Amino acid sequence: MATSDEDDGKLTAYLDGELDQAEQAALEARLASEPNLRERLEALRATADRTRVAFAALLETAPVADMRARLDAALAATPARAAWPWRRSVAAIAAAVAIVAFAAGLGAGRWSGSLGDADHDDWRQAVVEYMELYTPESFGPAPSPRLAEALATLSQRLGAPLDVDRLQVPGLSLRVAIPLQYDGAPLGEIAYLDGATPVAFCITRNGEADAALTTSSRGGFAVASWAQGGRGFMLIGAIPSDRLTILARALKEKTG
Amino acid sequence: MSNEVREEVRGGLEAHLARLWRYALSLSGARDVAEDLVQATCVRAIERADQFQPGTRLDRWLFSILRSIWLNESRARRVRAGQGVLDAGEALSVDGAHEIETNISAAQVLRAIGALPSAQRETVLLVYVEGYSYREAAELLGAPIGTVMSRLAAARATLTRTHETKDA
Repeated sequence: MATSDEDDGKLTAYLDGELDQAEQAALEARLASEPNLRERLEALRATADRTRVAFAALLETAPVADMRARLDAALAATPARAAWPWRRSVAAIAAAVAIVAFAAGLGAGRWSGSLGDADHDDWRQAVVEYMELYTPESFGPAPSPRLAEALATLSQRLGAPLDVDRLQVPGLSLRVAIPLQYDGAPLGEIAYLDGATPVAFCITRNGEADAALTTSSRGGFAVASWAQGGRGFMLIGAIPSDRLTILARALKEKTG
Repeated sequence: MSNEVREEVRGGLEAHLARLWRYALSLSGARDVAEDLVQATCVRAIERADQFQPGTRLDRWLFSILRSIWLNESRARRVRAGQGVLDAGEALSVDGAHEIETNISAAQVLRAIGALPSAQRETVLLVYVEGYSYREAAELLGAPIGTVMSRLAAARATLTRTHETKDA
C-alpha cells in the first residue's frame, strides 16, 4: 500500500541516517505501531541495496586500461612542475611558511616549522619536496646578517658544532640557516647557493642508526645522505651528483 | 616532470578512474562521453593541481571538477531533456552466456535508474553509491539539502515501484 510523499521522505532520511534524534525517535515510535510504514521502510531499504549492487556491477565494466593509457599520455605531455599538493602536503605547507618566516626576518630560534610524520626516511622526502619550492631569490641577495646567530641556535639544538667557518665549502655561498623540526626532532637547514642553484644541507637529531654516505637522485635533485651519532644528514641540490658527493664528503668530515 | 613525480600524480588519479567514469556515465548516459569527461577531468586536475587543498579528499575534488566540466559541456552541446538514458544492456553484457541471476537483475535496476530524471540519478549515485552525506551532496550540487532529500525520496519511490511492478 502506498505511503504519502512526506512519509517516504522521512523514511528515506531515516535510512540514510539523516534524521535528528527527535525525528528518529518519533519515526521509530510510528514504525512500531504501523505495519504499513514498516513494510514501506523495508521496500525502500531493499531498493537502496539493489541500487548499490547494480552500481557496483557497473563499476566492474569501467574501461580502466583505456583511461590509464590516456592519462599516461596526458602526463607525458605535461611540463615539469614544482610541487604536487597531493603528495605529503604537510611538508609543502610547512615549507611555504618557512620561506615567509625567513623573509619576515624572524630571528633564529623563535620559529620552527613542523614537517610531519615519523620515519627516518620520511624527513628526507619532506626536504626533497621543500627544495622544490626554492628559487635563487629565496635566500636573499647576500648571506643573511643573522647567519652566525642562526647557526649558534642550530648548534645548540642539534648538539653539533656548526659555525660559519666550518660550513664553508668551495664553490658554494653560505646564505641562511633555518631552525625547523620534523616529528618532534630538531632539524636544521643550512642553505647555500651554487651560483644560482640552491643547495641545502640538512641535519636532524632523530636517533637514526649510523649509515654510510650514499648518493641518489630524487625528484630531479641529487641527494647525498648519511647518519652518524644519532643524527641524520642530507645534502641536496640540482647539481651533478659527482660534485654533490664531493661536497657531501667534505661536510661530513667537518660535522662528524 | 621527473619520473617520481609522474608516478605519484598517476597514482593519485589512477585510483579514482573507475569511479569517475561511473559518475560521468550517470551524468551523461553515454560511455564514450563518460571516457572523454574523465580524460578532461584528469587534464584539468593536472593543470590545477595548485588548487587542491592538501589534506582534503582528492576524490571529492575530482568529482567536483568532473561535474563542472559536465555542466559546461552539456550547455555547449545543448543537451536536451530526455537524452542521458543509461544503456544498461551495453554496460553489463559482454557475453550473454555469462549472465547470471545477479547480473540480470542488476541490469534491470540500471535500466530503471537510467529512466530516472538525470538530477535524481546523479543524486542517487552520489549519496547511495559514493557515500556523500546529504550536506556534501547539497554542496556539490549547489542545491539546498531539501532538494537532495526530495530527489532521493522520489528516486527511491520510483525504483521501488518499478521493482514491485516487475514482481507482480
